Amino acid sequence: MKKADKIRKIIHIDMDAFFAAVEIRDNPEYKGKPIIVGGLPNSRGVVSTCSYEARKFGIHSAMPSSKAYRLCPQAIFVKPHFEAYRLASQQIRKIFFEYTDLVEPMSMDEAYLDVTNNKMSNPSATKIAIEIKQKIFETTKLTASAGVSYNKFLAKIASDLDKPDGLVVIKPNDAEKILEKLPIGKFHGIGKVSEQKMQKIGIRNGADLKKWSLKDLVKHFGKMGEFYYYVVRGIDNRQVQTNWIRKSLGHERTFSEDISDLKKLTEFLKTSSLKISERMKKEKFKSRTLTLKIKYDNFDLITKSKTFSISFDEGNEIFNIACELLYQSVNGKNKIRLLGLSVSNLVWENDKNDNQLILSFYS
Amino acid sequence: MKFSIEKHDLQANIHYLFNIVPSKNTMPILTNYLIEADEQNNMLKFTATDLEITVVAEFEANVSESGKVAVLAKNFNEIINTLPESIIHLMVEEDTLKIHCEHSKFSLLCADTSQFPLIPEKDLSNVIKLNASMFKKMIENTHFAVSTELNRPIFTGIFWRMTSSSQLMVATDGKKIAEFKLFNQVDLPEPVEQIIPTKGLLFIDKVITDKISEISVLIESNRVMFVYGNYTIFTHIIEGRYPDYTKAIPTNNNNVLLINTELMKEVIKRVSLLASEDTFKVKFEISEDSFAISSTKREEGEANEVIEDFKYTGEALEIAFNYRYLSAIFNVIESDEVEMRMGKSNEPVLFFNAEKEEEYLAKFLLMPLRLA
Repeated sequence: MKKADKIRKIIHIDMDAFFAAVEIRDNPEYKGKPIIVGGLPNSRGVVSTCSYEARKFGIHSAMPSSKAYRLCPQAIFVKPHFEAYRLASQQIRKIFFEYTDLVEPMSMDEAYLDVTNNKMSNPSATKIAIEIKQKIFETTKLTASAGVSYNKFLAKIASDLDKPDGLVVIKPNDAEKILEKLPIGKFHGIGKVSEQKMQKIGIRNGADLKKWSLKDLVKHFGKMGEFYYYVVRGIDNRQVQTNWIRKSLGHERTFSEDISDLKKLTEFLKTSSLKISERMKKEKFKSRTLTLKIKYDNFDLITKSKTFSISFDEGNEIFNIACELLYQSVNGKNKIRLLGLSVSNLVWENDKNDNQLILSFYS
Repeated sequence: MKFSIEKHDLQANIHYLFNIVPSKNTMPILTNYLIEADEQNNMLKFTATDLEITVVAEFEANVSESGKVAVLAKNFNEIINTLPESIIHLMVEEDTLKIHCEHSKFSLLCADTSQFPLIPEKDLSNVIKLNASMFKKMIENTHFAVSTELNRPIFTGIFWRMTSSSQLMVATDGKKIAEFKLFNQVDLPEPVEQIIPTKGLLFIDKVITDKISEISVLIESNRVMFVYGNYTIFTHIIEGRYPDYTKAIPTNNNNVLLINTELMKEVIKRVSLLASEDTFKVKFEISEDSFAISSTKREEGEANEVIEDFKYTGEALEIAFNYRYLSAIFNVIESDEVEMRMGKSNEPVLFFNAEKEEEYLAKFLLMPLRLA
C-alpha cells in the first residue's frame, strides 16, 4: 500500500466572508447590513468580499462595484483594510500550528491542515476542528467554517456545505453519495469554463460525471480530466504542502481612469518593477520570464512575455523588459485600463538546474 | 527635385542602408528614407534612422534640380533592386516620387519630410583618424559575445576604450567574454571609453573595405560620429558603467591544450549533431595522452570522437561547453592552432590564437556548463 493510501485526517478551514467579517467586527454599526469590501461604487474597482446580507442581492466577489451598487444601492461600500486582515490571518495561522506543522495556507483566510498525527495526540479530527473554530472565535471574534475528511478535495467540499460557521465531516463511506448529488459547479477545481463544457455534454452533477471513463474525460479536459475522474470517486492523494512553492509573483492595477500617456504607464511599471524586485530578493529567488498583462479600454486582454537565458531580479532589469513589452503593445487606438507585471520561470538560490555557469560580475 | 544615376551606383551606395530602417516603429516616418539632392554639387544624400543609429550616405549623381523627399524605404529598395542595369531617372511631381528606368515607371507617395528627425551636422574639425581595417577586426573579434537580451542594456553594446597607446573592445553576455586589444599610437588628448550599440558597429563592419584605409571618429558626450567613405554614422551611447570584467579572467589556468583550429571546428560540427537541444552540451575528456569529445541526446543517441593530434599539458579533466558558444569562438580564431587554457571543470576557460601578433591580442573566455 502506498503511503498516500493510508487513511488521513484533513481539515479545511475557511473564514466566513473574511474581509467583510473583519469590517463588521471593527465597525459594529455595520452588523446585519450588506457590507461590500473592495472598490467604491463610483470607481472602476471590483468587489473583494461581501457580507452574507449582500450576497442575498446576488452580489459576489470579483463583480464590478458599480454593478454591485445597482443591485443593492443601500449597501455599505468599504475600502479594504489589509493590515487588519493580515493581523487576523496571522492569529488564525498561529492556532493551526498549535495542532500540527502540516499547514498549507491557500490564502489569508483559508488553509488545509493534516492532523493525522497531531501535536495534541487527539485521534478525533472532528474534535480538533471544533476546538480550532472556538479558538478562532475567541481570539479574533470571527467565525470560520471547517470541513473534515480523509483528503483535501473532500475537506474543501465539506467546509463549503454549511457556511457560515459550519462544520461538516465527510466519512469515507459517505463520500461517494455526497459527491454524486453535488452540482458540478460546486466541485472544487472545476472552473467556469469547464463547468459550461460539462453542462453542454450533459454532466450536471457528480453522478453524471462518474459515468464517464477516464479515457473520455482526458480526451475532453486534458490532464484535469484525470483529476475529475478520481475526485468524483473520492480519491485525491495530494499532500498538504507545508512548503508551498511559489511559481510566479505579480503586481497589477486597474487605473482610476483609462490611460494612454506612456509616461504615466511607465511610471506604474517602474513602481511595479521595484516592488517585484524587492519581494524577489526577500524571498531569494530570480526569474527568467517576465509577463506584461494589458487590458485595453475595450476590455481586450493581452499578455506579452519574454524569457531570458540568465535569470534576473533587479528592479531596473525588470523595468527595462517591461517597457519593451509595453512599447510593443501600445496600439495608438486604445487606452489602457489595467496593467500588470509578473515574473515566472523562477530560479531559486542554490538551484542547480541552471546548466550554464555565469560569470561573477554578471549576476 | 530631379536627378539621374546608374542603377549600379545607386544600389551600391544604399545597399546596407536598409538595415538601419526599422521594420515597425511607433514613428512611421522612420520607415522612410530621407532623400536630398543638391544641384550645385551634384550630390545625393540618403538618410535612414531608427533614432538610435542614423546613417547618411552621400554620393554623386546627375542632379538637375535640388530638393528633398521622404519615401518608404522598403518600396524604394525593392524597386531599385529589380530595375534593369541602366540609368534611373527620379523626379518629384507634387506629392509623388517618379522613378523611370527604360520602360518601367513607378510613382511612390511621399511622406512629410518635416516629420523626419533632425540629423546632426557632419563636423570633421575635431575627428580622430583610425586604421579602418583594424577597427573592422576589433568589431569582428568581439561582436559575437554581446548579449541580445534587453534586460541589461550595457551588455548589448561593445565596450570601447581608447588611450594614446592602445585601443580595446570588449563584449560579454555573462557566459562568454571577447576582448581585443590593439597596441597602436593614436593622437588622443585624453583616454575615452564608451559603450557603443552593436547595431551601429556592425553597420560599420559591413561597409569597411580595403579601398579606404581610414575611419574618422568624433566622440561626444551622448553620441559618437563615424565617417567612412561616403557614410556618416551617428550612434547613441549606451549609458551606464561597464563592469570590471577583468576580475573574471583567470591568471592561473595551467591546463593548456594546443590543437588545430579547423580540426576542432569539424569535430564540434559532427559531435554537436547529437547534443541536447536544451543545453547544447558537448563534453571534453582530456588528459596528456587522450582527448575525446562527446554528446548525448536523450532518447535519440550519442556521439563520440577521439582526437589524436593534440598537445596537452596539465591534469586530466572533464569539462562541458555549450557548443554554439564554442563554435562562435573557434570562428574568430585566425591562427592555425587554438590555445585553450583551462582550470577546473567549473572555471572559466581562456582561448587565444596560438600564434600571437605583435600588433594586437585577442582573448576569449567561456564559462563551461555544469557536468552532471
